[in-house]
Amino acid sequence: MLGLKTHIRQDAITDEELLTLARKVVSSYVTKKSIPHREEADVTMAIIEKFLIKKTVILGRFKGESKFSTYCFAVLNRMCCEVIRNQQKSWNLSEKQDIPELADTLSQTDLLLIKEEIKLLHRIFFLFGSEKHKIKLFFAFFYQLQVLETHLESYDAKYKIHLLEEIFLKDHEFSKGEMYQILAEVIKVVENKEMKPDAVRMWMNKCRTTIIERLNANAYYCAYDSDSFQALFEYCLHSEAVERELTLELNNY
Amino acid sequence: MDYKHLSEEEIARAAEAMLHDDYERLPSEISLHLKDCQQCANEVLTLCSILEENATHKGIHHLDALLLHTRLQTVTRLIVGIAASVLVIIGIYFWYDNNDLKLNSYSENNINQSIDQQSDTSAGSIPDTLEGSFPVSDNTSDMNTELLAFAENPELEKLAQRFNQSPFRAEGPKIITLGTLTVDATDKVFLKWEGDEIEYLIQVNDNSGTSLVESKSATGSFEINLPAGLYYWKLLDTEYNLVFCGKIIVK
Repeated sequence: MLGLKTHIRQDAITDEELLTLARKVVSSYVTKKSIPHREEADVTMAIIEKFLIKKTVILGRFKGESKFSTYCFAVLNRMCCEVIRNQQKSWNLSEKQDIPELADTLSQTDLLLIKEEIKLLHRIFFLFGSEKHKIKLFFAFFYQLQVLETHLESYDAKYKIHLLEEIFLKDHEFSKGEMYQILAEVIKVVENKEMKPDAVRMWMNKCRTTIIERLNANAYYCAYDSDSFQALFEYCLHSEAVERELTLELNNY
Repeated sequence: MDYKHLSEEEIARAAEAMLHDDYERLPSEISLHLKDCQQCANEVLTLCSILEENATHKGIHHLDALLLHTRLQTVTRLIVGIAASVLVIIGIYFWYDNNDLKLNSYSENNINQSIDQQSDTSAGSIPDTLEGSFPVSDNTSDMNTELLAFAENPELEKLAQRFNQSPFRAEGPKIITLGTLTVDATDKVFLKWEGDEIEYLIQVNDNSGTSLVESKSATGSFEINLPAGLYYWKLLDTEYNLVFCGKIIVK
């Protein structure tokens, strides 16, 4: 702000406030089953101790580019991750459940659970930056799921000129090999890049692996593999389609 | 080479950007790093969920309010400091300007006092004729110019006082003319000293120190017509040693 260096006093955060923040960070990992419940108090004390030892340095490093509270959370979170990495092997962590299958009749609990996971998946897509629209579109095509025009438009504004509707908005029964070939052609037309179908396959596998790792590291309820990722992705597109329909109805109304 | 992860503050920035739908405006070095780095990406995702859970918790928001308060205090102090400096500068300017006016009016007051002693007919009247090679200025209609014509010259004033108060001067003639000679503007100015047949140089200066007349005389006297004003005359020997300095007030 006005280029002023933010000077944080040593008493900017009291010990009680630090305890409150530390508890919130650790409890989120307990909920995710990354820390056993019995270890919650010990991990909380460990990160508080680490923070207090380095308090002067921590406060001195703050530049004011984010909120102070967010910064404190980020510091405590990183310390907590360090503790988990060091202690994980000695902990007996309970298993997460599988994601419920898409059905018309889901319980309220299941719906809430899935809603949280979908939110997480959206954020994971965001982390891919400009590639997020391409990833969504290609996986939707690959899993033969419903593609929205908005996905197509976000990837290629000239999709009508490039006749992408014919590929993505119509039902198909291509083999995996054919699908990678088609996607390689799409990349050539839209991005003007020469990419072999095998390179497309490898790229998509890499994206899927990254997404699954991030889901497993951050999901509260479910453990993910390729199949459960596909299930969650289906939920994600389904909720987007429902939301889009609602928006259109409201606009018409 | 150690792999460099994002700093905690960069992680905090990314999480805030994601929650506020501002991710696209994040610096590219942060977003590109998050695309590939699992550790940092996981930290951002965890932070997002923690922040969302605690969005309304007062225990946290007051920390940001404290920081905002500190920043506001700093900015306020800066603005007050700048405003105070500006006021001081303006104050100094007006003080200087005012003092300058006072000096001018002091000089004018002194001139006014000497003018009050003049006769009514001579006040403001300026004779036309002058003897000697004296460049006469006809432009005396300005009242300010008339007042300034009587302003004392500090250096010449000191010189004249020295010769009037103490006999400290080179050996020379006895000066008959008063140290401060006051005449009417209608009268001639007679300067007299003892020492016939000895040549002296006479210099008449106006009150700005400008030499008006330089003339030689071996008769022990010198005559000149001067317009109203204050003048200083000097008597010098042939070797340009100052023999005497006196004042002439022409009313």
